Amino acid sequence: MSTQTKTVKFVDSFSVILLILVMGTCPCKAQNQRLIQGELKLVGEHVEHLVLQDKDGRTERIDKPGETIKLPVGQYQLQESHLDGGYVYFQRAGLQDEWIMIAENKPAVLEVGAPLKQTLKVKRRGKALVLDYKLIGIGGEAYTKNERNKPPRLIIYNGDEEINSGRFEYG
Amino acid sequence: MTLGKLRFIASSDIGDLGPSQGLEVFYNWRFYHNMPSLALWLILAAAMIVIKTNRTPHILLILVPLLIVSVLWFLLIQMIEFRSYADVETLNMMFNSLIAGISFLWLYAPKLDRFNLWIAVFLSLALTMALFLVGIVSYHGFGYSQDTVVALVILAVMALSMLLGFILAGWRCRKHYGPVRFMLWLAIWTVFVCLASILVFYVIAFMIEQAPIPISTILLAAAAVGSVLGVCLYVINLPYMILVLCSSFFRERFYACLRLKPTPIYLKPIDSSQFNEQNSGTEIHEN
Repeated sequence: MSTQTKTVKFVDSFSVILLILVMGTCPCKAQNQRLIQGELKLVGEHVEHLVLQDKDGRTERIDKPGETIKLPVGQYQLQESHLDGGYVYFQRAGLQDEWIMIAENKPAVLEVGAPLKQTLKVKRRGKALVLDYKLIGIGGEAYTKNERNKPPRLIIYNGDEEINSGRFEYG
Repeated sequence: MTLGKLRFIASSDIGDLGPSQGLEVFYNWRFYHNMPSLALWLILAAAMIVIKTNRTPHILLILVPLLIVSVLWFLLIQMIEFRSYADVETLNMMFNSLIAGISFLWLYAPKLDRFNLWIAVFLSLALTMALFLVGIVSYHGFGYSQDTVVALVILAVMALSMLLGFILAGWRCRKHYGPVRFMLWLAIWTVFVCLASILVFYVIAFMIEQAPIPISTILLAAAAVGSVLGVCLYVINLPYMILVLCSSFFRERFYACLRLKPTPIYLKPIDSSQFNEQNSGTEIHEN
């Protein structure tokens, strides 16, 4: 075997090894990133389970979350929040919530769940008033109840006199 | 009649999740909230008084089509079952703004013939839009909401369709004008411009929203909405056009605004001798 052929074979082998190394590094990097964990501090009570989604579309379901959650580093969005008593929040399609950045050494904070606030917005449409009732969580997320048999109640006063009362309609 | 500061309290038993009662919300209900279209009718009354050429009893004829379409609208609303009264009020707002806009244009018409045709169209559109805004604020208040914007866009499309419909129908009748011919062209152009405007609006809206809806569905929806709006606009405009074509007072304004030359009517000259033969007059007998 001539010296020239030996050199070509060496260069070929070197190239193949280099290619394998380069191709192998990328998934390793991603895998390593998934292995590095960060901390998410939860502010809010009565959360039954949460669903978070990262930028690649992977979802993480966290049942009965404590005060802190360990998650692979990355950016996450709250997709679902389920509270005790059947109250649920789903992120509406097309609406982009803020991304939560989970880093290795810096704990992130997520406000979700109770205490809930009962809010009411009034807007006029000619001679009619439209009353919009919402149940808002600590992070501003709007909850609905799975069971719709008992809608919220409304009382209207003019001064101190009660002039009307009734129940809201879901819509 | 309810007046004054109204207080609303919502409540629901949510257990340990929070207080069972929400915060109190107040709304100050004023007397003019019971008459939301009042501002529109006041503007029309002002246009009747302020514009000099309108200071004649003939101008009151504009109230005839206004009353006819209002009665028909009232009957239509009674026949349809709506999900909520707020929906009825939103439709009332659009209808009242539109008829006030059309009536205002006929009241303002004498001021338009001095301008170039396209400037007159632009001015008419601006004035109608201003009136629509008055209507929207009277019904919805100053707060911004998505349904307010949609209502304004629909009204703008209708105003544009009506004005361009007039111009294009006038253009088609520039050589041979006839009322029936004009009304047919007006129907075609009104529906066509409405369709085209709604199509453009839908495409822009879906591009902004980036909704994952196939283009064929958008085109189909736009075609349906555009056609319905165009036909509705023509039907609402029809009593006004009947008035304009029947009343010489408004017909003059119509010809002047659209620069139309009516086809002269040639009458067969009457032979005076024939006239005398037919009517021999009263005979006077002298004794």
